[in-house]
Amino acid sequence: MTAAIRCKGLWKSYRARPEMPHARRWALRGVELEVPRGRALGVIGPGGSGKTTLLSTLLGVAPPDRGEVSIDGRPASLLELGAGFRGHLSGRENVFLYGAVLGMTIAEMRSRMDRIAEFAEIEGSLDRPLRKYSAGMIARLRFAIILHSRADILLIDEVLTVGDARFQQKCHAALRDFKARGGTLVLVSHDLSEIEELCDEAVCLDYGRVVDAGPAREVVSRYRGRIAGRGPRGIDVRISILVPTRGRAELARRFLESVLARSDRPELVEVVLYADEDDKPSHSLSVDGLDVKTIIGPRVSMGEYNSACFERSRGEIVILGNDDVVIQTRGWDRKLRELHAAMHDGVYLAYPNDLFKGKQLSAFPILSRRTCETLGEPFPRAYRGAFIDYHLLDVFKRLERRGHPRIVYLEDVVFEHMHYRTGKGDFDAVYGQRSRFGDDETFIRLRDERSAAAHRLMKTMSDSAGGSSEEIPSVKSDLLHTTLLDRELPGSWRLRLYLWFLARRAASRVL
Amino acid sequence: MSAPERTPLQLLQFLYLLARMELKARYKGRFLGYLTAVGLTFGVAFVFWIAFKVIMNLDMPNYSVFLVAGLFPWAWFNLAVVSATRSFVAHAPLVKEMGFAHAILPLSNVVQEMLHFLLALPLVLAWIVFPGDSPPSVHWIWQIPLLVALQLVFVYPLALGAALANAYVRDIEYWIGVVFVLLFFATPMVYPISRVPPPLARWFELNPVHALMECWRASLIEGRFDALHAAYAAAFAAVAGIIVFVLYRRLAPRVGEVV
Repeated sequence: MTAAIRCKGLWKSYRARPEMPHARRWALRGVELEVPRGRALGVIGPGGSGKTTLLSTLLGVAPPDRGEVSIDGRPASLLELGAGFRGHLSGRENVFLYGAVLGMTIAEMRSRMDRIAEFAEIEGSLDRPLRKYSAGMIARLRFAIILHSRADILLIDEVLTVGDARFQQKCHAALRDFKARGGTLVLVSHDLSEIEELCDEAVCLDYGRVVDAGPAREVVSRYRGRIAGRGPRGIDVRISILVPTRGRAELARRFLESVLARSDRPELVEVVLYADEDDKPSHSLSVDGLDVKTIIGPRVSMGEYNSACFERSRGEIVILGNDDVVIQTRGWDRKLRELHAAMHDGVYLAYPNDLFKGKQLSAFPILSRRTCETLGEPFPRAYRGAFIDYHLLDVFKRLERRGHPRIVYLEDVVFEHMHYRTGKGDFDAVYGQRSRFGDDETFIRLRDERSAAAHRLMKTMSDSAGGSSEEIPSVKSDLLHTTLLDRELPGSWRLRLYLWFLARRAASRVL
Repeated sequence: MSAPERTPLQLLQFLYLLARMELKARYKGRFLGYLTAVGLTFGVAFVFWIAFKVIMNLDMPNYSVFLVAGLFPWAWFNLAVVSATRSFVAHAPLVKEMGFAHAILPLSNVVQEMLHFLLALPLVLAWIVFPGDSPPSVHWIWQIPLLVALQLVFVYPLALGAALANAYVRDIEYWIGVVFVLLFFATPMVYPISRVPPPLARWFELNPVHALMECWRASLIEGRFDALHAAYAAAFAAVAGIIVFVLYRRLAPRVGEVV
């Protein structure tokens, strides 16, 4: 038997975010498949797993990044409902036009017109303009044209679900007939019984990979089992949220509840809390259905709180959170997993929208474990209360300056910060007790450490074995040299840091 | 790659279907539709006649003939490029599924506007001949078909280029209107180039659209073939054709994804 369709190592990506050319979302990751002539292949998998992209690639309208597609025959597709049809033209004219798209001549279409109209059950409406048709009539007409074209390979996506049950049965019968005449069929559908009924073989896609292949009935039955929750599904990336808390058990509980309530897969989320020894109410914080680990320890610096939480965490994605936050975005964890999958070398600094600082500052940094490990000390212990966000942002600004924009602001993922200055929280003891200007000098002093971290991250990205052990120049540790004159930083960031620190210095003298 | 090759006959038939059906939709009211299509351009000519002849008191004999002889070829050029700009985007589902010969879509816009022009041509010639100063010329028999062919190869690369550009940079469809208003006065369409101050006129002369329109006016009004301007317009069409062809070869495979 000869293969009508053959794919080898098919990779296809789309740009994940318009502002970040390096972040590609891979819709197909090395797909291999073969469909012999006269056979039907079913394609199943969860939404967004690459099924439609696969069909577009087979049809030749979406060229792959890598890999090969070879098609032996005349393909026709039913990709999008109503595509290629024009409302102001009559049904008859649309048949001619769509026939021409499929490579048929006017004479051929004319000779098949009666059979097409009869199959679509629109004989009486053939000369009415298409915009007067119902959705069902258009779907039937499309299917009829495809079926009566000279195509011997049909690529069908999800469209047999339109129309009533009787017409669906008619379509199924026609497709079986098409196969019996030697036609090859690729069918994408969420209707698993349809796949079982029409297809010989099936493949299951997940995140662009073929995760299962074989006889249609077996693949469908294994897939049914998997949806029922008996196996892995999606990207099983665990997320850890690190939250130091002190004297605000009620706020922390509100935060934990929002983590649970808005997450798609709470079983893959853990929260690591740090509570002070003397803060009894926070010791027993927990929410049913959420994995909460609590570290009880002495009162230490913010950097040490964070580091202690990080050491206990296991997730591939690490978020530095806060107890006065409420997560407002449903499916926030899925969005983070998708981002994580798109950044295939794992080097990124993402941050959610806190509805307070917004894009200005990465108040709640999101890092991959790989990034954390490359950084060495992702949350330096020397910081007593603040500036860890600035520290991380500064490291990634250095990458940006070198042509690696890896800072991702997730505007549509909302971690609402109930900061007292927004009017959403109270000015309580936690805010009052901290020293406001203690960390400025630490930030300036750690400049060389940030520079070295940025170089390590770049090395991780390039993955170069024989990377040049480039000398990293050291810089005089004062405000001017670590901000305004630091050539490793983008100009706007230098200016912003410099003015911000000047303002803080002035304020620290007055206050 | 996988989409089957189309024979030239199939492509021609496709072009024919596209153009015929759009024309049919436009001329639904038959004669009234024809009058509307032709009348619009005469209307524009009338507005400029009022503005320049009556109000600005432009001192130019046969100004209405000058206007009409230029505005109809201009309308073909202008409407074809503007409608072609949207042709990929407006027919996104078709483009996504065709997987072949997207270039047919803007071509159908150019051909449609050409047909409008040809349909309007008898009235235009009547308008030119009627006042008596420009008698009908026997040279029209070869000049008009030649100029129609020249304008076809002149307009098509621009139309295809605009359609491609708009598929990738969606804002172009908003800017193209402004560009054409600018071009309208820089060609110039409503006053002779002799009225333009000499230092500026030198630049106007470089405009290839000006060369094309001069050819039309020379032929329709005087029965004269303006070989110099025709050669310049043809050279421009050749260069634009090569550039757009190279761009099309590179950009076309992904058009289905970006629209």
